[in-house]
Amino acid sequence: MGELNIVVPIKQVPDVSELRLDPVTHALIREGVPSVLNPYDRYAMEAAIRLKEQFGGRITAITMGPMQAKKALQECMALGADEAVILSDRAFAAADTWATAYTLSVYIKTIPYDFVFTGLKAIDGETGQVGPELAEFLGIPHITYVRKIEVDQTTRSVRVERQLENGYDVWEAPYPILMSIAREYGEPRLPTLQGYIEAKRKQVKVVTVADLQKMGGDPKYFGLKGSPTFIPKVHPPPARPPGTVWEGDPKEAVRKLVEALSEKGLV
Amino acid sequence: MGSDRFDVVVVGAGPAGSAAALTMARQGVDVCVIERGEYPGAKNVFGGVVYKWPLEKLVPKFWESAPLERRMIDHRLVILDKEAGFALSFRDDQLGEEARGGFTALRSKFDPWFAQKAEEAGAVLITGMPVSDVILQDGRVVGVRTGEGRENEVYAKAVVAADGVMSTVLQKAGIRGPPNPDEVAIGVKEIVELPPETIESRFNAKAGRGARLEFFGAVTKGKAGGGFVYTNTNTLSVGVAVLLSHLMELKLKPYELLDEFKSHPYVAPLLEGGKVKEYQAHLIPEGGYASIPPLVSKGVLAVGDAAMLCLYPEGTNMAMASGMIAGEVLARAKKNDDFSDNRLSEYRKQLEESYVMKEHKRKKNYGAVLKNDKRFFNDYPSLIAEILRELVTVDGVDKGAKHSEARKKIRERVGYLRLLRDLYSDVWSVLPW
Amino acid sequence: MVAKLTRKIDERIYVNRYNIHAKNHLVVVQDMCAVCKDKPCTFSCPVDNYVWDAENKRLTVYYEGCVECGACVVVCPYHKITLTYPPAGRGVNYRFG
Ligand SMILES: Cc1cc2nc3c(=O)[nH]c(=O)nc-3n(C[C@H](O)[C@H](O)[C@H](O)COP(=O)(O)OP(=O)(O)OC[C@H]3O[C@@H](n4cnc5c(N)ncnc54)[C@H](O)[C@@H]3O)c2cc1C
Ligand SMILES: Cc1cc2nc3c(=O)[nH]c(=O)nc-3n(C[C@H](O)[C@H](O)[C@H](O)COP(=O)(O)OP(=O)(O)OC[C@H]3O[C@@H](n4cnc5c(N)ncnc54)[C@H](O)[C@@H]3O)c2cc1C
Ligand code: SF4
Ligand code: SF4
Repeated sequence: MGELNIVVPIKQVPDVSELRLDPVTHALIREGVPSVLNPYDRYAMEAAIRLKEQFGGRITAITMGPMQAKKALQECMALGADEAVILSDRAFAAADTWATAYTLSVYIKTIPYDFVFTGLKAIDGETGQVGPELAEFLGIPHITYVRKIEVDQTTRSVRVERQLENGYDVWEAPYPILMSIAREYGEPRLPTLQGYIEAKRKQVKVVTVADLQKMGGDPKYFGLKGSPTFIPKVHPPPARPPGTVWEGDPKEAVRKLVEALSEKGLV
Repeated sequence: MGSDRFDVVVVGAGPAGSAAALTMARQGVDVCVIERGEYPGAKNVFGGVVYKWPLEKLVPKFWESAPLERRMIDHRLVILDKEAGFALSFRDDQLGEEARGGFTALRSKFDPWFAQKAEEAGAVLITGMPVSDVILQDGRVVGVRTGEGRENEVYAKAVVAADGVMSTVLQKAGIRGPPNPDEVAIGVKEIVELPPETIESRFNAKAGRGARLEFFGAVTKGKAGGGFVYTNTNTLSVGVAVLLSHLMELKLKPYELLDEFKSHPYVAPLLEGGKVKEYQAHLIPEGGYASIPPLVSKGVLAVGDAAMLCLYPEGTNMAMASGMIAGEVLARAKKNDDFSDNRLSEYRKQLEESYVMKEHKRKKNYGAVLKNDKRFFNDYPSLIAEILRELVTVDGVDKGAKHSEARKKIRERVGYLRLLRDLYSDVWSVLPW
Repeated sequence: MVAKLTRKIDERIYVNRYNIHAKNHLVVVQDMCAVCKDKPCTFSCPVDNYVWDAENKRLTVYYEGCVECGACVVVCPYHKITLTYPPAGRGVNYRFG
């Protein structure tokens, strides 16, 4: 039984749990918001680690993004990725999902892989498109919302459970295959101290546009130039009207609340 | 070396830990720093002024690259009573050169910068990992752990406890317990945003230069402690510190003291129009010389706040200096391949000869004065305000009469002997200068 | 007295950055609290994490706004507060500090 090669594309995103609206201006407070590993990608890493624990093999974490995304890759290595690759170049900037998937595919095609695990979606872009598009570029099948994976190495196939709103599907497919991993797969682990120390002693491999061209990438499909999607304007949802707070003596406050509600004919 | 074994593990990446790691890494010691914050500084609070010494020894010409806010050219001591304030101010542009008068900094910027120096020198820095326990073998600490299981353990020939005033390492190793309420103050602080030009005009400073104001007296309702206002680039650091045992007597919440301080007529105009960007709290070692735990024990070297080496508002310098000396001693221990407590006790000896211990010995009454004497925080401030209020009021009463009235007040309320004694000794224990 | 529904401190800690841990990292021993005379934790904590619920004779322990200062540990006369630092960079993350 051979070992498995698993590729995990990950994205570094702003920590949205810390994005808040200014109570006065209702503008997004971006100042000092740190970047973190996309929380959904932790599930992809978890799936990769469990398969590696079961069958042995190699995990390659890969991202396309600015150099500071190395920090998210470090975390993947601390979790158990054997190798980390960052595709970083000005030429990749402002890519849409199509260009992102294309760029990732150029590199991934040059390495051996049995599985590609992605997160369900990135918490900033939130399209959930990069995974399926990447599968198309790689010319492999894909299954989304995977919550359970059984690997049969003799037939080189998988039997997976796919999470639905109120139940699950069972699918069988050959691998290499791309899967996006659902939350229901299981709680992702935290890195250990040893993991962090080992990660510190490993290097992140940096790949530039010139490298990708040597691998057969077509520069006209990278970055903004290669992005067919165009977003003319982003509209924030309308601000909610402020609520009313009745303070002071609870009895009095409740009386006022009931009064206000009955005024509106709600009680 | 394997990933679970180092020459030295340093717990905490504050000024003490980073100074120790930097010193050791430069001399080829294999050192791992474990910090619980997501980044160094994430959990840290100080006033804060950082001093030129000993930072300059560790990072020559630091003022060219460190994330300084403003260089301190105006040092003020303000004694408050309920409404009034009496200020001593020393202002000198020369203090700005090479940051001689110290500089303000924000921990979330300064600590990462300083820790990175250690990393660049070769230290392995792990963040986001709280050390939960020490590993004891035959009564000696041989490593630390951050959780369950082998993969959360790391071993070393010596451990540096640089994990601050609540030191997990020293407590778990049984070297000291948690501090007593009369050995620590609680400091609460706010970051108040103002345009740089406003700060410069209010504090009479140029761009990149600023003032530090230390307040005593009514701030803490006669209890031991004080307040401060420090100028950063586009924020002010405004805070109050009070001895925890005294806070318990007051039965006030720490932020209630802060609110009162902020609304004091001397302070409020300085903050006018500012926007609060952060609210912070942290403990400050205030026990002085008497509270210092064993500095070398069971293979653990205690540095900085963990060792209670702090004479408010001087803490970062004590931390860096003790870290540096501990680092030197450990580097030598590696060269001689001797990490015995006996060898490592060299640290204590060298610390005794340094500024750190000389100051702690000179101010050896510090802890006791804070704990027991209300004179400095209550009697003197109100006396000074009363006397000065009379003296600056020209109302037809002759100054001779006012002077003798003042002398009478001093005699009745403190006594000359006491005053002389305080002037001769104890005042120098509490004054920051 | 009815337990306060909102703590004034909430407005104050609103400006801070927290990465809140799913688990309360503060543990008290309620039996001790019941007999503790002054309950110093209820006024020493800079973010009002401890509120005595007189009706149910229980100490309510909030933790989301904790700044991990350790004051409660120091003041508890019975040394019965356990503060376990939140893992993986959770808890308070100062933007200024
Ligand atoms: C406000 C806003 C404005 C935008 N404006 C434009 C614009 O003007 N023009 C334009 O072309 N595009 C624009 N985008 C799209 C943006 O470039 C996408 O966010 C990006 O292509 C990735 O898509 P996604 O975030 O939806 O990822 P998803 O498809 O939701 O991510 C799914 C999974 O794919 C993987 N993945 C995603 N991104 C990467 C990556 N970079 N590296 C490795 N793996 C990855 C991860 O496993 C992830 O869990 C905008 C997005 C936003 C939020
Ligand atoms: C309100 C206030 C105002 C002050 N003003 C000044 C001033 O103006 N000038 C001055 O010089 N000093 C000042 N001080 C004192 C100064 O902050 C300290 O003396 C100094 O920070 C001590 O440095 P340290 O490295 O020993 O400890 P710390 O700075 O406390 O660093 C300890 C580090 O260890 C980490 N840590 C703790 N426990 C663990 C664990 N279990 N596992 C892993 N990591 C852990 C912490 O996250 C932290 O990064 C002030 C302090 C306060 C609270
Ligand atoms: S101080 Fe300790 S014992 Fe007293 S109420 Fe608080 S937690 Fe309970
Ligand atoms: S550690 Fe500090 S902030 Fe947290 S509960 Fe205790 S006193 Fe309150």
